[in-house]
Amino acid sequence: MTKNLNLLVLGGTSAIALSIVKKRLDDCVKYDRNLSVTLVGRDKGKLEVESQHLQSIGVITTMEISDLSGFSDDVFKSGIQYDDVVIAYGSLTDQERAEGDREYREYQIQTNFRSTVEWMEASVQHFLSHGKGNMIVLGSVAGDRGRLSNYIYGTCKGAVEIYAQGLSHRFANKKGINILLVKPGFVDTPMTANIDKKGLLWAQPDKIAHDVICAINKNKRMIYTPWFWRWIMLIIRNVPAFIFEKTKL
Amino acid sequence: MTTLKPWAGVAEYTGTVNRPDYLSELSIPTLEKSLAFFGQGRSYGDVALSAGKHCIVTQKLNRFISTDWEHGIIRAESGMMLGEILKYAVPRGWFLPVTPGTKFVTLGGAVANDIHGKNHHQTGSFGNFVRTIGLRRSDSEDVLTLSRAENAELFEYTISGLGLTGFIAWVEIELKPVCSSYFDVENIRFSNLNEFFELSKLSEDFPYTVAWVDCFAKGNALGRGIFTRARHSQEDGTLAQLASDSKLTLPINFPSYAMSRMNIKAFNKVYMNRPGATFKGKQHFGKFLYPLDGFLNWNKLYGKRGFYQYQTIVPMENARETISELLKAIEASSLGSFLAVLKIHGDETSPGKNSFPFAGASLALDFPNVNRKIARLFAELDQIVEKCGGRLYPAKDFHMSSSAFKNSYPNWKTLEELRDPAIQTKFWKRVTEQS
Repeated sequence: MTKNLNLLVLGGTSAIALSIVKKRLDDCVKYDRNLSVTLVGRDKGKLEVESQHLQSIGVITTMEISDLSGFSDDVFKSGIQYDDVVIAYGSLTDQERAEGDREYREYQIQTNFRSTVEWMEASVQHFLSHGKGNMIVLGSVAGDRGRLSNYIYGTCKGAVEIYAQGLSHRFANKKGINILLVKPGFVDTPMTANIDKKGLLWAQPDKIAHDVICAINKNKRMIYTPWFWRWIMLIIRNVPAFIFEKTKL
Repeated sequence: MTTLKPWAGVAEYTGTVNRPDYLSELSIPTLEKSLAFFGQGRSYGDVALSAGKHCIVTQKLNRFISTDWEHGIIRAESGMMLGEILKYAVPRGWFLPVTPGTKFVTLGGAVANDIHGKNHHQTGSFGNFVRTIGLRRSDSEDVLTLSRAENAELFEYTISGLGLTGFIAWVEIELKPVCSSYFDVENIRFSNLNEFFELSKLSEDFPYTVAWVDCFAKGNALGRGIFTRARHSQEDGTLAQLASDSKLTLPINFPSYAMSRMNIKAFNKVYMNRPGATFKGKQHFGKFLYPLDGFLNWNKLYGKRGFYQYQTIVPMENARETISELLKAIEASSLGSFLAVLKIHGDETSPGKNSFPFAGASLALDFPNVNRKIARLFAELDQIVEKCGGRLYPAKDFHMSSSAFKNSYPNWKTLEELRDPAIQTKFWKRVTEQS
């Protein structure tokens, strides 16, 4: 039997992250490896439910109850050497509220950007001390262009992308350390539970996870998922402002 | 407002749809007769459709709660699909004790409809293997535990209770041990109904039996088809092999004439004479048990207007005559389709009080919804079924009359008494409130 695969999931109730864990498990079963996962999140009850499920299907799990928007590097001090770190927590910002409520706005920026930076840096340090690792950061297509309906959330996600780009550049010549920024389109997850999901643009977390694993295997730096968002966003980014600003997007 | 359409595409619900991510987040409205629960929409008609304006979809409640892989006992949230259980159970040497012809049904739906499979003649229905059920009723936040010993009546009426007794939060079942993911399968052609009954008799000790019937055959060939019998393979070491998940999706609805009489007749002829009709050998469980799951959305073959399934079971005595009468009527109407299934059932051993199967012969046929003649044919079939003391399967039904239901499911009154007042389905309203 080869070595265990260790995963750290920041945002242990994220449907996309949990789907990534299950895909990793399928691979581990195939190659007769064990999979250990540390789930970090705020909601103990929900983490327990997810952890129970993962244990049932053969994953070794550890839980860490922690508010990810406040950063603490305790989880890296456990002695576990993580092969993958999935940064999947976040808060879908209520744009209107964030415009008028400074405290809320700061909290959103703290959650979706500032703390993410700390987690990315801590992960990088962790990888450097072991010589390798994959970082999977969930960005969003919302980060591609500022739009009136969600530019505060979009700014955070866009900033995270630039940060991830910088890290990718920094480790461009360092084999073994990979940073993947994932830009999902509309995904049917708890985060979007209040949005009516009609139409072909909505994807299941399983599909996103599938694309993420393919991208890691190919050492990609950034993916849109599902694939067609690349082309949708190409158009969105290039529409001239005088037309774009007439829309309510 | 969201619209939900079950499998056959003839019934639909429009209203609010709530899709809780966690059992702890579930809130059940208490308004009378306002609510129903919906899983994967694999029942055919209106059995899972709310008669009110609320619907709770269980698709995301799909986790294991506890698993004892040593003894083959699992407890899972009610939205878990049977295929998901197989995915993790088979490599550990366990199999579903009962499974229908698709792995895309949820545990909750399996319990509520007390589903059966090709092994019914030996094992009875799904309910037989249910140990405990977690049920939440609208009058309380607590989850009741139901079992043969605890809340026994509610247990018996939740199994086969059509989702009416409350919200099935989780289900604990026992699995059965297997040492291979393959089946030893034997297909045998039979040239008429007599041969079918003979083959069924001769194959009683095979745990899995089923037959496909050519519903366009007549005269001496009436009821000809292909008989399939199988056992779990005893060969070790193939547990980890998963079937290749072929995922052919029909992107569009077929035009309604795709299922015309000429096409089906031609198809049936080819199907009957293909080499596979006399196949004998090993088949992966995915291919043997779920041949249609390879075509996601095969229901779209029937076009936009959908289809009806007529699934009936008739008592063993006179079964040969009754099935023959039914097939004659179907042949004469020239409305049948290529999915026609015949099976002998054994005594029902499930604790469910409203379960569909009993010792007898069941016949299931799809009919494209293209023709007004269907109502006439169904009326004719209903008469034959009623006369012999048979009944129809609520999970597949969208036409049964109130009197037919009440006469053939004598325990319906107790189910009505135990119904959670907040719950009402279009099916239940149709068969109990209308005369």
